[in-house]
Amino acid sequence: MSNVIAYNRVPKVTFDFWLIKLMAVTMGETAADYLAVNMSLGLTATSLLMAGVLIVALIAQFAQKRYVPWAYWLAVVLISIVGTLVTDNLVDNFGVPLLVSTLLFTVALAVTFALWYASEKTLSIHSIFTNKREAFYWLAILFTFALGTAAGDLVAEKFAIGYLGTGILFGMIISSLAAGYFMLGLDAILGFWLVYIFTRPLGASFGDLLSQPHEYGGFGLGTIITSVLFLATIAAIVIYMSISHEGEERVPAQ
Amino acid sequence: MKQIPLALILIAAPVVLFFAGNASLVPRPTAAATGANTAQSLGDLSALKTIINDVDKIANTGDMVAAEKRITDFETAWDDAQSKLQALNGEAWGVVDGASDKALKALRATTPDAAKVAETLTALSAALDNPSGGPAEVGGELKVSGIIVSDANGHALPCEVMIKSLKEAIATNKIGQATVATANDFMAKALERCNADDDTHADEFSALGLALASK
Repeated sequence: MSNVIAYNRVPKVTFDFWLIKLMAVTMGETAADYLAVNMSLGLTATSLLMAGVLIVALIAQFAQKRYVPWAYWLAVVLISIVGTLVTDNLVDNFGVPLLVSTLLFTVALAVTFALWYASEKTLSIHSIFTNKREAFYWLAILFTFALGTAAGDLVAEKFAIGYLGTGILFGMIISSLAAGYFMLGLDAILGFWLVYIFTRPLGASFGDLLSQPHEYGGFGLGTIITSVLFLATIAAIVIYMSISHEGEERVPAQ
Repeated sequence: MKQIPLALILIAAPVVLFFAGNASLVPRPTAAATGANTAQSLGDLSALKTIINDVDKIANTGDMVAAEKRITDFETAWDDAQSKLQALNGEAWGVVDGASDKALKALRATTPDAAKVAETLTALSAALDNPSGGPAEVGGELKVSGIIVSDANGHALPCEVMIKSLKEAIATNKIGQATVATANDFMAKALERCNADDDTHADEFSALGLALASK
């Protein structure tokens, strides 16, 4: 054990973490819809553009070498948008059925975790202090978003239970996993990644519920107002986190 | 490794609970209810439908004055039948009446917009085919304007598939020049609903667009 202190580059998982993650997802869904439908750039151009912006944001995040709220959450919001667009592209442009893309991303995520574990002997999110570990972390995050999108759309398509119904269903799954973690000894890392996947469809159905017109079962706020509303809330929490230093972790370097 | 089975149980339990609760709270419409719905529709509207087909043909030639004249025949016949049809099914009458008001308004505009006219006529035609509103059920598969929009169990077809066929119909010029703007309009609406994961409505718009190709 050395005395050298390293900074964990990603935040500790707190209540605020999940709150802001859910908001980021919701915003990702409505913003992706807005960009694809209203900007008339088309799905392909939108995807390439957002992927470019994401790469810039990730470079900024990697450059911090520690957890800095604005850089971290900017990357999460953009990953949420790009993850959604990746799934939409596979379905719309390449004609891959949702069931296939769901399985594809499940395998991709499993392979990422396998390689991560093989290389680092841990999947802990409390000791992300090298570029290599951080790369595994963000790759896993990208696949959870893509998987969450595909699985959520699959449920919406097969069961037609509406935005509220989908929200309640995924809310129940998340509550069940939380109960499993607190009461039945569900592994913290496994639980974290599973909840990370399921908050994607929960946030998306919540976003659709707020933004979609009344005639289609939504509250009719529109994609712009919903996106701006959530962006403002995210910004407020990020400012609060920056001031309070909540979520920062130091780990003894091995 | 007890963790994986534990996680699977934690995920499966709420799913089962949700669908068990959902099934008991929201019963699916039974065959009897669907039958009653058909019986309460407006009866034979084929005479009215013929007039609207005429109007559509005339409007496609660009002669909006003649089209307006022909739709006046529809208006007269529709108003004459009002008391009878309203008594049969007030709600279904309202559906057709609303669609007919829109078509009349489009044709009677100072300078009628060809795309708007085609769109409202297609919608009116669909309303006449199926005045009870919503997709008409034909042998298990739901249809909108004669286009199948669901599988045999009544689940909406993937909206991406329907949009793809509409896109192909437009690209291969299966849709006439006069209505291609309307078809593109329907496709934009279908895409918007599809992006919002609303397959049912997306499919309805795609079907309205595809119906233009079969004319």
